[in-house]
Amino acid sequence: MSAMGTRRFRVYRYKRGDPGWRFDLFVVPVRSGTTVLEALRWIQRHLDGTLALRHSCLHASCGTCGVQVNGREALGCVTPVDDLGATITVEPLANIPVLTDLVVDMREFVDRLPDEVATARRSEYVVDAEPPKGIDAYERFEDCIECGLCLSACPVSATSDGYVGPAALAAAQRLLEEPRGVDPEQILEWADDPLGAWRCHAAFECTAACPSNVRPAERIMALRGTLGRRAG
Amino acid sequence: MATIRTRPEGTRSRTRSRGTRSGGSWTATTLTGVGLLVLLAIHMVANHFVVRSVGGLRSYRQIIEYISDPIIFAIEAIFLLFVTSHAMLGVRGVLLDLDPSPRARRWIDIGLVTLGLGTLAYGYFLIGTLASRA
Amino acid sequence: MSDRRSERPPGFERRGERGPVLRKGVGVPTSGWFDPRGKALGGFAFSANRVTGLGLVFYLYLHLGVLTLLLRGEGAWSDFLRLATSWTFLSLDVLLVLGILYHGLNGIRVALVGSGIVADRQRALWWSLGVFGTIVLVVAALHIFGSK
Repeated sequence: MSAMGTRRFRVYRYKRGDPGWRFDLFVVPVRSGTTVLEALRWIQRHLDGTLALRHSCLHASCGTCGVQVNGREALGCVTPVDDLGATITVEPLANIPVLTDLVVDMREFVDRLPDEVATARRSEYVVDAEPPKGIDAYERFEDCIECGLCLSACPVSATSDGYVGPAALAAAQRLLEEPRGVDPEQILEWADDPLGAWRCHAAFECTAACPSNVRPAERIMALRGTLGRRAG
Repeated sequence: MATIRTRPEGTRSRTRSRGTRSGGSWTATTLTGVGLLVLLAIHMVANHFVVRSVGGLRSYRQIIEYISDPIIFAIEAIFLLFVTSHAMLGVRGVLLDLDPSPRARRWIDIGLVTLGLGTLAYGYFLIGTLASRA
Repeated sequence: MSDRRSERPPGFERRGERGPVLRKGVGVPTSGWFDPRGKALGGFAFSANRVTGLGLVFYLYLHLGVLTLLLRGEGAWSDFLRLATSWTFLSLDVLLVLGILYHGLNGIRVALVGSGIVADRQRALWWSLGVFGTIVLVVAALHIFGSK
């Protein structure tokens, strides 16, 4: 059985009607492999039932549990507490308005997306396999799980609420790579904007934060390459 | 279905800018930057690594002799143009990241163009005056 | 049965308000660009590019101001050279070279990557240009200090 220990959790708290935000301290029993989300749910069950947080799948495929852990964006469900130090600070995502405690208003994230986004794509993992009768090709979900970690990590979004952000631009680039019936010119028109692709400064924080291999920064750079060639 | 709409039919993304594009600013910043790689290297080498003196710094007479050479004068004049343009475009990028209003944007553009032209004017006056002392 | 709609939780009337927005940094919005906490390599590169760029803009005008001394003749320039050849100034010259090298070489990386060329090699570019820049800086520093 893994050894038990404790960690101190500094958790951001805010409720509507509060004069402002604060940090609450909790001591949580953990063992090797305990995740941040497990610790937060333990706090909810045993110490403070008013702590609000979001989660769903518990295995990094829904993107719901995104938070900042010690200043770094992470999905709580797959972030072990082992190497996070004796005191772990958990805050909601940055650059998105807080609804309550660790829950942010994801409408602000969705509002920045292009008018249409892709959900499924051709799968590159089974190219040699013969699909069953009636199916053209194997498909899989797009990599982006719309967790918002990229928007939180982006230094440009830190000073500009108008900037569409990495997820939106990466989604646009995916539609250029595989149009799926969407007019590419519309996508390029949308992205060719001071608040679109040209606001990115190639900090690559979004790619560092992304838990799902979207590589938004690389996609934005490819999008800019296309826009540059279109102008030239 | 491979794609979905993110907002009701008939509505558009709210994050539309003020209608101007800035791909041109990026291209101009990149091109002046590439030009500076060469021009600045020439300038730095000529003014720090050629003359045998402390820090490679030129004396008054050496500077007059240097700038009065027509080829050097032309290179330094183009260098000043490139460095001023790149600097103004860079400062513009930093200021635009603060999300100014359309009115503020206009004033930023006017201000930086004025500052840039003023810098060029003074710089050309400076090297022109020095070159004439040869 | 009581009217459940009258049993609103505290703060319910404020649910339509925009809540606080966390920003990285120390309260001033632009400090988020330079907050090193949680930053990856690209974030540091971006911050350093901003700092060196603004520093070089400052230097441009300082330089034009210094060159104005030339208009006052040989005496004024010679007086300045006495100051400019001190150890402190030579050290500042080396700092200037560092700023120019960083901004220029990182600029090459930003230009290539930002145009969609080698975007997936941005880290390798940063390190390889960094090695090249370090070598040039060392050579320049040895030359500048060695001339004293």
